[in-house]
Amino acid sequence: MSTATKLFPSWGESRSFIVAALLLIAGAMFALTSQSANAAPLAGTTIGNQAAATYTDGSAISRTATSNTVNTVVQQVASFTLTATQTKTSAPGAPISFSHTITNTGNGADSFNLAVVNNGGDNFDLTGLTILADTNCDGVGESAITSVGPLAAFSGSACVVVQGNVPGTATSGQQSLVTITATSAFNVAVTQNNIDTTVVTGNAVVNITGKSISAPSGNPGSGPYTYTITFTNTGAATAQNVIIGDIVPTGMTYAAGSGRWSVTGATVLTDASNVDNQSGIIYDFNVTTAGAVTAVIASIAPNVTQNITFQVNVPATTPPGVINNTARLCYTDNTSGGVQVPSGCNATNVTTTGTVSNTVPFTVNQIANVRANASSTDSSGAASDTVTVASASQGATVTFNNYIWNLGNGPDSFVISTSGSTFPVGTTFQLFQQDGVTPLVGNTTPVIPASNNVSCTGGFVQDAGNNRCGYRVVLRATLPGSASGGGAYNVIKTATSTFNNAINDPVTDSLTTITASTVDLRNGAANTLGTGAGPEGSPVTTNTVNPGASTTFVLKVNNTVGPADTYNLAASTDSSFASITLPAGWTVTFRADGGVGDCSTTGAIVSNTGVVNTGANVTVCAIVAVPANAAAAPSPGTSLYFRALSPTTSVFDSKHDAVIVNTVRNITFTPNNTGQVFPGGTVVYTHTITNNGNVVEGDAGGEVTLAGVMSGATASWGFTIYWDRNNDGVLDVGDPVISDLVNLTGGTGGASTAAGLDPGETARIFVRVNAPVSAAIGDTNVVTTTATVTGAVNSIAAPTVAPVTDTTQVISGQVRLTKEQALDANCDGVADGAFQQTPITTGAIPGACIRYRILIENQGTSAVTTLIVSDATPANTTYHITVPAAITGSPTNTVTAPGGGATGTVQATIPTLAAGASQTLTFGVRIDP
Amino acid sequence: MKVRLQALLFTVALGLWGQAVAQGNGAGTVESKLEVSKVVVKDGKDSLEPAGAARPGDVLQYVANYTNKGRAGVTNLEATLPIPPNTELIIDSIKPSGAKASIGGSTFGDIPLKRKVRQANGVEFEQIVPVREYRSLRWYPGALAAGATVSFTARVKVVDDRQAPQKQ
Repeated sequence: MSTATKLFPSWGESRSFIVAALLLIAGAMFALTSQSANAAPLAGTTIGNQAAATYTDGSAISRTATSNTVNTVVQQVASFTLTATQTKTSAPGAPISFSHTITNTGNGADSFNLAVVNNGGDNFDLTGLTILADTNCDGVGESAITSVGPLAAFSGSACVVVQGNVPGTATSGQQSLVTITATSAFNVAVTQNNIDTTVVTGNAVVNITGKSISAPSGNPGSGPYTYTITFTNTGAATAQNVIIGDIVPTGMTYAAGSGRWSVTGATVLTDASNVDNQSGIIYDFNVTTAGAVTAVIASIAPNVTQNITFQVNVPATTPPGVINNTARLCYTDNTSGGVQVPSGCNATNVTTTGTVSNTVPFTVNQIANVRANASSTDSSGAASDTVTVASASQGATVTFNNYIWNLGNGPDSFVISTSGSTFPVGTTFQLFQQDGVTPLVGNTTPVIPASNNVSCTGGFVQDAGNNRCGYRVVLRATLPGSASGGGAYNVIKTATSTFNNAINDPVTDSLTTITASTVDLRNGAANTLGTGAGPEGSPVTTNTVNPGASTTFVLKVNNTVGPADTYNLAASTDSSFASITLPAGWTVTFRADGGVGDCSTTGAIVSNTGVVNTGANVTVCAIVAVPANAAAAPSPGTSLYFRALSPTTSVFDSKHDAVIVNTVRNITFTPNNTGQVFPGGTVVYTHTITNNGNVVEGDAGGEVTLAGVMSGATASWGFTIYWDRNNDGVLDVGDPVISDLVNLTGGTGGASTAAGLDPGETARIFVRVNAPVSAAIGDTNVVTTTATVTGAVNSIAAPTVAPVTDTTQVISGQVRLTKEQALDANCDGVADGAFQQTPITTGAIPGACIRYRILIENQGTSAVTTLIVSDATPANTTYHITVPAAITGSPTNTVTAPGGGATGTVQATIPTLAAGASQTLTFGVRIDP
Repeated sequence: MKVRLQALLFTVALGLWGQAVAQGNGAGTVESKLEVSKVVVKDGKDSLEPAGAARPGDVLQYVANYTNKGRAGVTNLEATLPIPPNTELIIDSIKPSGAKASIGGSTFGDIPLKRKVRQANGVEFEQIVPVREYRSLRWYPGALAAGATVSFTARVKVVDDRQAPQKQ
């Protein structure tokens, strides 16, 4: 370690400001002090640590993980020094004083209790023994004290003087020893002591009674300051050849021609010669001893006090800290037969062998100064004060490198703060150390070496031209995903000195603009269809599908501009995607591609693309399924839009595709019927016409016509075609004659309300046939009704519809059967209400019973013989025997039935039914429970 | 008073940046947790105690845990443990071995670190960097599978160089 380092311990870490603060609190005489950079940390210092890691995730994106911060607070330990053990000579009956310095080397402020005692085993005791404060460290005691402090941690110090009197009875050669003891108030187990020895002499006794400086502290580049060295001959004889030496300390420079002696007053003492006797003094600087003042005074009579003064300046490059200085003195203790005190001391070695004076401290103040800029090599004011990043992607992390230069004369650390951000709302900022990885704990830089420091190693950058050290602070701004464009975005970063928080300097971090991310959704395995922003005006890809089938669109999601991102998938018929809608019954399922990139095979169902790296694309298979009853959608088909939307940045692209649903035409007309009629009677036949295709049929006149032709016996026969408009299954007065399905309008009860038949819709058609009175018994008339479809729909030709036939035979008698029903809910065999032909709408639940009544009427003109009427238990019922099947006209008429609970035929036999007569058959069934 | 002011500054700064730190942690899938303990020798054995407070000369143990909370493995994992100011690394305590060290934090080298020093006479020679100047350690585990955890340990000693002041 060099001498300079010893004399000017550098400021250590960030605690230096705390040292200063404690000193202010303590009110100690030394405004500032310092300590070695490698000393123990100050009590109360927080040792904070935060781990960090970088890694690459599955998206090939480099990420950072930072840990929690852990803190350990440093505790106080007591430690101090007391200097120095010393020996002085004195005449009998004279006062004597010893200067001591107490220095706190502990890591916390501490006070020290003081005590002084006469030792035993020596020749005599000093009388009036006291300890005096010496607040200006000039070696002259002021007032009695028993303690000093509190003294700041790390070399906060105080001067004291032990004072006493040598008894007049003491004789030459006798010695007295006293012990001064200092005890730490923080820890009374820590003590130090010095021994002061007094040697009595009858010769001269010259001591430096005080050394002082004109001011206790000053800034770098200030001066001059005057050192005064006062010395007194307290002995009984004249001292000769009194030699005073004082090394001008490093950190100060000698002011030429500033030497003065109290005897010659204003006379300038020459610096350059150590042989010129100026009225009893030979004075030089830097001649006898390099860098030192040396003065030799020919003689000093008893009880004479003199002083020497010289001046020093503090250069601007002096680092902050305490500069201590002492003077030394020796002499010959009598005009004849005297000896050299101390022995062997002369002008050339007085600065090392002479009796030492009190220590005079001078504090060089620390001046904080800082510059924050964009340069890693230039700390001057000309360097840019703005760090500009031209552009960044949406949601990206922008890195700004700022350099914090310590322009102060002492090591200093700087708190980094930000303000005035015009970055988009949602931007987050994070500060990192110069490696760009480790968080800047407490937002505070490490201690940056002072300016005028030749070495900036250990993570610091250097401005060689100005001899300053700087530290890179990395600011990372993580942009919100949603913001793009605009700018410039600025944030002001300010570095504030921790030593003096009134000192700061700003630097602006500026992002010129945020580049908008883009995504391009394309079609086809070649990833070329529909390049560019959608939705396109016309479909890019049109697929054809049959009702009840599905078709697959190959979607390519291209991350064209921006960082790796993921995209949510959607399909809608709304090109704006304000609503997500699909035709009724349609479904769109997105699946991952099976691996080939053309959806020839597919993977799992997905709703998101997963990560798409910059410039890359992923294949998604959109499977569109249409229901079996899907309406025909001829070319250009039904437009369907696909969209890929980033949940992070909200950027999206849509694709206009279309689906053609093939046209299916199919009309059925059923069934064929047979009936009987007597001459002059009528019979009504029921048919159903159904549209089994997926297009509306017959909604325009002439598209689907109904027409009948008669064959067989036709003379005077007639027929009419009706539509069951109220859908009650019975030909009513209101049911219109129909010949064209365009007239299927205004239906009720579920019948068609609009012209034609919609897909899946049916209409009930009645054909009423009239037999002429002249019809011969046994004649057969056949009405063939045809639904004729004409014209192509969606280029699909009209289908052919099979006609229906109604065959009517003329019979002489006419037996008419009318079957009615009634609910028998409690199965007591008695109808709960009136019998009727209309359906039972309530109560026909499993376990309930139904009663049937069949009215058998002979409406003919002659009797009918051997009439057999058969009925059967309907499906899901069994014969109910509580009230058995019965026929009126018993016992002539008979009835047979299944066993109770069985199924089968209920049959009545009527031997003769006269013209105009009627019989009634009743029976019951039970609905299967 | 300055002490309090500094504490206030620190608090304000935390408030400013707290959210950013949280966000930074959440951005990735690897979570980091740092623990500190004070190492006390009892009956010849090391015992770990809470490290909220320590005195100069005490030994602190840092354990940094990294857990991959994601569903996919990560690669190129590099874990950095700073050696805080006022502390000195205890080289024998590094676990697992293979860590590199840095004095500046930007370049990492094998332990022991060496540097070229130019003397006044212009002659360059290689010097072993004092351990006291080490300011961070970095491990290079590379890949970390989903759900896996790795731990890195190092001990430091709180600096204790309370020297007697120079004689005047």
